[in-house]
Amino acid sequence: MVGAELTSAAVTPTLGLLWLVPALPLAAAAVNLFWGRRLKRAAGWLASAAVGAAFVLSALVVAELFRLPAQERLFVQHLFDWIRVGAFRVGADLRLDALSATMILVVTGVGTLIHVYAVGYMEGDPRFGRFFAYLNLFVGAMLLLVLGGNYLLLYVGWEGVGLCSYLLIGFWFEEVANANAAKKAFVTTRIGDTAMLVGLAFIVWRFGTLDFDPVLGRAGATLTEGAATAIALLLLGGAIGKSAQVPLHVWLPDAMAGPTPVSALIHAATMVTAGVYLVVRSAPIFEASPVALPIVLVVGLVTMLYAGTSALAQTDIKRVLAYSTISQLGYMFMAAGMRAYAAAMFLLVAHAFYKALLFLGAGSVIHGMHGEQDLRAMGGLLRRMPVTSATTLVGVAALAGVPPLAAFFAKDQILEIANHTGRPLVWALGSLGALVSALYVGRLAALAFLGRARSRAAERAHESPPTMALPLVALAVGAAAAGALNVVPEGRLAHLLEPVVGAVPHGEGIPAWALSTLGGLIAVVGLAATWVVYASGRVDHEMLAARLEPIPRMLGAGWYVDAAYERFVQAPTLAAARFIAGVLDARGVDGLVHAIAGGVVGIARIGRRIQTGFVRSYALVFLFGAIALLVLVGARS
Amino acid sequence: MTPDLDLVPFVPELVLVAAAIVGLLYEALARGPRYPVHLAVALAGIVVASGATLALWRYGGDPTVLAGAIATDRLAVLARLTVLGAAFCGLLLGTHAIERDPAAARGEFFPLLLFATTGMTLIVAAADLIVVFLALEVLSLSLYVLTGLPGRRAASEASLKYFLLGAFSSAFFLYGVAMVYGATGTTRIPEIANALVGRTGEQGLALLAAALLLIGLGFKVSAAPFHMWTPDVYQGAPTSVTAFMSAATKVAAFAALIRVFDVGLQALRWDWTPLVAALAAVSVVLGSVLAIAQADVKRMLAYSSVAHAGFILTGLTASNADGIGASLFYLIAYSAMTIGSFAVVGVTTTRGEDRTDLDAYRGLYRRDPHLAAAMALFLVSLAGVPPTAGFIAKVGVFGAAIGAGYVWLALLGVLASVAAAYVYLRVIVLMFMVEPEEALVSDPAPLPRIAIAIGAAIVLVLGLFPGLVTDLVRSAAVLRW
Repeated sequence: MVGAELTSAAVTPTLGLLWLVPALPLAAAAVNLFWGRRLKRAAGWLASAAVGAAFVLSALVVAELFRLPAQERLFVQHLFDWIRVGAFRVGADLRLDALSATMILVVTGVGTLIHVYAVGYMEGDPRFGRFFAYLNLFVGAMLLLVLGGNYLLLYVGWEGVGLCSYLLIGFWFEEVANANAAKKAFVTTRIGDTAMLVGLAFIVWRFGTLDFDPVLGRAGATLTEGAATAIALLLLGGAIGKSAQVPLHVWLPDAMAGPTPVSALIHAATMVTAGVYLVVRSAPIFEASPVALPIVLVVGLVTMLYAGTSALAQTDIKRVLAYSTISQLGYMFMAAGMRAYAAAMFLLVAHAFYKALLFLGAGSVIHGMHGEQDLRAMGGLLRRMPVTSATTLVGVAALAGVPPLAAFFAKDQILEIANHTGRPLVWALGSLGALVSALYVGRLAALAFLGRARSRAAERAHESPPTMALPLVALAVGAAAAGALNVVPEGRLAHLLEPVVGAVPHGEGIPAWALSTLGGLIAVVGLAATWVVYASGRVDHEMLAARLEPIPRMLGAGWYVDAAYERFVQAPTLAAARFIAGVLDARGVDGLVHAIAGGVVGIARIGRRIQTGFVRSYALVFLFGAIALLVLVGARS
Repeated sequence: MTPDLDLVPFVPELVLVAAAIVGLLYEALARGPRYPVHLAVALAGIVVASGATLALWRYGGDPTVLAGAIATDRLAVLARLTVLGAAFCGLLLGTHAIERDPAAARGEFFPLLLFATTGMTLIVAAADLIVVFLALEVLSLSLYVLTGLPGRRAASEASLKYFLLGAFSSAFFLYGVAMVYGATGTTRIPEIANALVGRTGEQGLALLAAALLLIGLGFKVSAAPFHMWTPDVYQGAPTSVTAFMSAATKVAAFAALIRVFDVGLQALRWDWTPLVAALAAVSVVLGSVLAIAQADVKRMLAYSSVAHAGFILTGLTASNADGIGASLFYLIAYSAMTIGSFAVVGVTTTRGEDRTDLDAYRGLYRRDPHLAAAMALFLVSLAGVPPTAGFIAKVGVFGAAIGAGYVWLALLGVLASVAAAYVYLRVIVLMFMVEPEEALVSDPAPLPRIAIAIGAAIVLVLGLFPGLVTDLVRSAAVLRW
């Protein structure tokens, strides 16, 4: 059962500090927004300190929470009444339970490292302070999203991170492509957000409130199957947009136009996981519907395979990682679709470490090669950038699922649950996806770090400064060790999450040790294969790719989904918009508006003429008004 | 009956008068540059009076004190605080105006502003129609002089017009007081209420009184058709004085209107709410439409003030705690936006000389982005767009009117808001999308910017977190008598 009855804990001095967790980054954002230019380099350190302090506070608060007995691990902090219209009220409530605790630790922990990294990466940028203001605003909004005690606060954070994502993707807006990528991300996610907003309206209609406790606690009893399906699918629409699932995934690869710390923080570690969080948080609604969770499972499965194969043929190092992120998020959706919420959260945490690591490693490579992002121009960087290469290779191994690194456990548990709950097809396709991910990430590593240098930039590449290298090391440790959180499906993390998300589903199937061995083998074989093809020098991989055409070209273009959208959605929409704006609006609506406006201005001119400036005429108007009022009284009595 | 001498609810007025007298004596005796001392004395008076007012929030004594002259309810407390806040900002703006233009400076500004404030804080607490009238005259006379204080032709003309028409409206009010006395035999507002409750049959005299009182107070709140003075006076008066009176006078007169009608004439509410609705409709439409034809910012804001008086009256048609609460919220929000926008007008200048035509706002964003952003915020709030206080305020009054059955009035208000949006958006377009034509320099003075920042903060906070004041406004809307 999900959402077992939790009793809210009483406030203690430590728990009372919860509001500071989102408030600190938001305050730092305000300072940097107004005085960022004057602070110069200090702006970056201020931003890092704010998020770092938020992390320390989160750790304190969460430690306090976990000191309580399992059924009391819930703390709701009511800050003030936010909206009150008749019986409908929305409070500014922060809700700390095991689920939001996990999220805030990831957001602030990974966030701090990325902030520190960005101080080095953004060095010398003319809008340095502005960048950190946005980054802090993003962290604040994300914390609001996961800490919000009702759907409206969640939605505020949801839109906040969307806005920050837009601002940061287009941060170097001088280049048109970047501004377009920002626009694309905003518009695409907007489609999902609109669905989600309609879903919230449905919730208000059915429950009369947006608070999590009454909505989720009574979801099964209140909702008919049809209503539950409607709400769940509308919420899923928002989650699909934000987490870049098929069919709203097209914005994420383009979002790589933003500075690399942004890609790491927003488009890998935190914001895109909001969709997973939403599904897990709203699990009782999804479970009240007979079809919602199977749909989540299918969406995740399709996305996982689609994005994994697309990643195989990318030439831009960041685009490989972008498709990889989409694919990994697909895994999380698959897990949620099988009610394995704890497994989804476990992969979310593990992924945050190794994907942030991979992105920051890629950023370090790009930095060291003065802006070069093409894998074909790299090669042999292991010797010239030892720290970056070593840490990134840890991330590569972790993502591929080499035991005993993070994804080995996380991915393995999802596949094990698939196998043990009677879904052999999901298990087989998931294992195929695991092989694909070992292949694309192995290809990335082989092309970038092994072999020989294939360009002058690669020959001259240099190691990055310590502010960039140190976060890499910290994240590498995390990526290597995160598996310890939950070494078996019913492990420590699952146990902690159980009061919120329910027990881990289990059953019978192929023995767990056999599945694990197979998973480890897939990873090692996949990596070895890519080494043979791309780095050993024994295979001419370009010739191989040429012989496989047109498959690599199709994968490289993301199965032509973008092109299809442009042709079948964007072009007709624009044509329709042109017709409406040029013909219907200009002649019809505007004509009417102009006529009314002309009439109003005409009346205003006449009215102005009465305002002569003479006191006597003013007194006369006054008198007429008074007489009219008295006549009105007389008529009534 | 011996009058009880509980002076506590009267302390704010005593403090203000004391500060004003100190200012007057100082003006008469001191030599040399005097404005810092004036400002300090006046600000101290206002801060102490605010503290004394705050202490009254939990006042546990009688509903009225001093022989029924002063009410002690929370309406009086909240309205006083709003007036005092407006006076605080008005002082900052006025001091700056004096520093900038010493030739037109008068030290009397400070005591006069305090006297006007005293009249306003008194009228919101007045529980006797005679006291209401006295307070009305105290605040009016001070405002007439403040309007003409610089001695320039435009200011003197505005002052005289204000005085003549003000006297005219006072006559109506006083006549209304006499009618009330004729109908009920008393001028104490709670006793009027008791006298009218349960009375059946002919209410002609009382209804006539209601209309006359509404005319007198309608003039003060700039409700159409008693608004004709507003554009001329707002334009002619020094901008600092306009800022102060556009906010504080409205709060004071509306609080008095609430007490007179929702306490004293409560029994007749089915008869006077149509009158209020009529005034609201005319004000909303005339104010919104006429604002469109203005080329001067101060006149534009004056017509906007007429329209906003109409919106507040819309809330009062409900004549219950919902409507009063919505109107109080509106008054607080409106005070913040009107003071803020007039403060921006005051610093959008060429060297020392006021520029109030719309052309002065061309490309303001290029010259002074912070100022333009603040002005845009105030205008957006005046237009009633979320997430500003103006939006929440409009939702409140329209909701109250609909709840009371005045759906047509709410509909009219929404339509007028749409028309008026053009007025405000036009200035925003000028500020952000047009290149500056001439090398105008906006005034970098710090004092007005403090007032602007206060206004902007209130507009934003009330817009984003209206829940913060909901409880305060609700408890002030419960009238105790």
